[in-house]
Amino acid sequence: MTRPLLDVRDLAVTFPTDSGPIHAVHRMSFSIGSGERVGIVGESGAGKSVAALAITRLLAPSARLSGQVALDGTDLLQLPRSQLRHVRGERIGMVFQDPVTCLSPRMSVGDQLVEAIRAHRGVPRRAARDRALDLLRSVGIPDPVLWAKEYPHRLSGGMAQRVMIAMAISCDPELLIADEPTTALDVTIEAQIIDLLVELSEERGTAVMLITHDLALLARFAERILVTYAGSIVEQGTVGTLYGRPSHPYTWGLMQSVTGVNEQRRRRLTAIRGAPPSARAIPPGCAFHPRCPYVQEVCRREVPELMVHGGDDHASACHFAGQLARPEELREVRP
Amino acid sequence: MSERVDATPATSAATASAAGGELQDAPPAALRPSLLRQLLGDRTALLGLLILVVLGLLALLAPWLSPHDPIAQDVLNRFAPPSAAHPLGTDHLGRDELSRLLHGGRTSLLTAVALGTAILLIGTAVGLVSGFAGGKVDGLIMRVIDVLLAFPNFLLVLVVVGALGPGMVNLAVAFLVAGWVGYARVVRGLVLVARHQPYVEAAHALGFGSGRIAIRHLLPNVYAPVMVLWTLRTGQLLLAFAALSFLGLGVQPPTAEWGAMLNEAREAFVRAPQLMIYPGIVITVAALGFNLLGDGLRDVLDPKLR
Amino acid sequence: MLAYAGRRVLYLVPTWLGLSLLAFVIGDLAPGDPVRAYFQRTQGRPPTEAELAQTRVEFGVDGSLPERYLDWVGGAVQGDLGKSFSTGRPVLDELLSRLPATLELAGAAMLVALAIAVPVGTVAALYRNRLADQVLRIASLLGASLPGFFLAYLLIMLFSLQLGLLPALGYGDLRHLIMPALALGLAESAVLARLMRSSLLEVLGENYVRTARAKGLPEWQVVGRHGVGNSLNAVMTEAALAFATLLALSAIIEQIFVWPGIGRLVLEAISQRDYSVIQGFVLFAGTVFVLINLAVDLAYRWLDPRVTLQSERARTAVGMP
Repeated sequence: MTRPLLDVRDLAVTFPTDSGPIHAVHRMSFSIGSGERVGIVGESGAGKSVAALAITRLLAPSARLSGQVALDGTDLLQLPRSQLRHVRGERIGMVFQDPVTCLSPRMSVGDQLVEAIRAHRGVPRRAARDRALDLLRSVGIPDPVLWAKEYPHRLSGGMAQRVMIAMAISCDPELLIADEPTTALDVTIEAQIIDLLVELSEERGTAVMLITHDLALLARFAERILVTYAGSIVEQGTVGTLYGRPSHPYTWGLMQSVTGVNEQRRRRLTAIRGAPPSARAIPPGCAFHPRCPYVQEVCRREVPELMVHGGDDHASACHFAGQLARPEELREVRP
Repeated sequence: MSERVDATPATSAATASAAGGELQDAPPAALRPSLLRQLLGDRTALLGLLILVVLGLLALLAPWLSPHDPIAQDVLNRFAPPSAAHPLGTDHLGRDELSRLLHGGRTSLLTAVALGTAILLIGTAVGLVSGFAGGKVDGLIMRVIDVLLAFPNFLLVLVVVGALGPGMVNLAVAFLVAGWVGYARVVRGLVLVARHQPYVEAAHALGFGSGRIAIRHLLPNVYAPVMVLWTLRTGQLLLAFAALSFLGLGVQPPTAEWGAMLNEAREAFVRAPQLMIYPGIVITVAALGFNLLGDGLRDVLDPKLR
Repeated sequence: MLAYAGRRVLYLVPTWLGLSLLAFVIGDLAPGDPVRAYFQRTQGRPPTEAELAQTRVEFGVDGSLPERYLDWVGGAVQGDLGKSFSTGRPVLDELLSRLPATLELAGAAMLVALAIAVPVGTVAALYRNRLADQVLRIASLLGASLPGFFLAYLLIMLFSLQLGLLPALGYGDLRHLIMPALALGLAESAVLARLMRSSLLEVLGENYVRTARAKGLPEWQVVGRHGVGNSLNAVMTEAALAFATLLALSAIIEQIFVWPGIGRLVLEAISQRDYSVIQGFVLFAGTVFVLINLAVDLAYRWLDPRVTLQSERARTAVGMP
């Protein structure tokens, strides 16, 4: 098997606080191949954003990181700080949520793009400016010359996110990490942004890691999906397997809370009970056990490993993966 | 039926997480019993408090601690170096420097504290009235505040005392005229914010009178910021008071006061710079005490940007 | 924006009238009769009743209290603040002739304050809660506590008497300006440094700073361009507002360094009970301060269109117009 572009092994992130450590990410392992589009899904607080920021070490200095984050064989967690900036922006581009607040308020959009280009490419200002305009055009901003002169507060959320994407791909990175890029955007804008990411990924061969809490969104985007819960990955598989044969009870719950318009009413009733655990107090054994309808004695004691149990590397961290009834049958069992 | 069953755990989980969010919903700082303890735990505030307590005690006990009468002159013994009889030497009139510093603290420090507190009471009262009365009363008070706020505090004191003439009484009047505005504005703002808090609106709805609401519900909210303001303002007042005495507009000779001592020492400062340095250091330390305490208080009350 | 500016300017009218009343009352409530004193000094003998009345007319201070006030305000609107009782020259001329020296001193002091505050506040923020931050915190509190009039003499002792580097007194070239500017500006630098620190800490937590890092900018550009650049706004606003305080405090420093500024003029006027100068000064200074506030407010809005209705409402809550 060829070496993946990004290989994350046993990544753990802990924040020490006065009232004890917070375990935001728990031994997370996954990999992303070259040009691959991977979706990471989970409720808020599941550690998916923290994991994304940990990859390029953008977390607060107090964060304790362990494990490995290998980009093309280089462990980013061991990289000296001075080298780090040649990864950020140059090999890994990043896009965040709330795009308007992610742009520097006192600098024109064009200048911010030029700055990003010139951080890694020793090109003259004029050439950088031309490239900035090309980039704006390629993310679908009409009349780039005009918009390049604007300041971020004049941009709509969708426009700002396009600018952020242009900036993230300005140095042709191998990987683009998009952390909830469409949260708080209109549904139509959301679709446009996701389509743009797919298009850019296909045109440029850029791998994209899309983080979201919206499983439905990933249907039109991802090739592979990772499901996170309480700082760990609980299931992974291709879009087809995951939508077709989900094998972790948490994934079923997520699938059922996905709302189709006509089925909205019925499905909401079977959404997952309870709230995700606090990162200060993750339940022992399987972290999902307090909310799991099928909880058994072993689930309270032993942490289930993420194990491959099907084709296409379909893996699930459930003691009873592959043995449980499908969610459709569930409804009959529990009236 | 299934709706009920499924909804119940979710609700209780929501309640639990709301309880977990108690940090955000904590009662106003002043209501927490641990304010004093927190203050004592903050090293900055503690140091400031310590400085002020020591200086305050020295000032209060000055008549008993001083080796000499602070205004007794001894012309044969001018500019004396430190000795057993005069631990810090004597000044240009042969007066004991240590005794003058101790008595000077009585004038400077105690005046600043008394005047600062009087200003606080007046300003807070006006602010409460303005914030509660609203309408025309509030409008008129705000106009007056606007006019007075056009001036830096020190300048207003300077011209008022300049017009009235030097002396303690005039100085006090000038400080009162200039000082209340700062408190009134802050307190009025706090009242306006607090008036729209649910618990105050609830108290109104229950038919409690304005006076009772002010005392029971608003004062606790106003108390903490006003204490910070008092600490910082009183430190500034101490400096302004010394500055005016230094300019000859405040305390008149031969009364010992730190600023006035600096002023008197000007004449001979090439020959006896220590006569300037002693009172200068004491003023600085006293002001530092207020600033440390105020800064610490602010941190305790608003730890966001620590 | 224009409508807002118009409203703000209109709003100045009652404030200015209040100022003029305050100025007039301050001058008029003073004890003693300056007209009588003026005659005595210039003529060397007490005036007769007729001469006294004549001199009053000359200074425009005859008539009843409301008449005198209206007279004075009417003149003030046309730039006539009356005549000085000590020199007999128009008050406005006296004030204007002394203004440049004060502006020079206060401006230099503000530069000193900013030159110290920005780097100090930046270092304190970058080393938040570490040793450097704690040392700078104590140092800036000490700076804020050090009275200018004491610092002035410490500077004179060091630079003039010990080292012989700078002239102790007087007005002239740049070397005369250094010590007064330092004595006046140091305390303000302490205040601004604390503000710079908290402002920068807030900015460094902003999303766009994270973006700047994610772009792979060198850390000095992240902090310098996006961090410090965006926190200067708060510091400059405060500095502009604090300029009035520096103008006020410059009176003491001018007195010490024999600096021919407006503050020294006022102190002279106070010691000579020259009320027309005091009155004129109060109105003049008040007008200047009110205009500074207006300018800061409008500039702030013009430079930062993100100041929204919401923040306007928040400011009204604490009493800002």
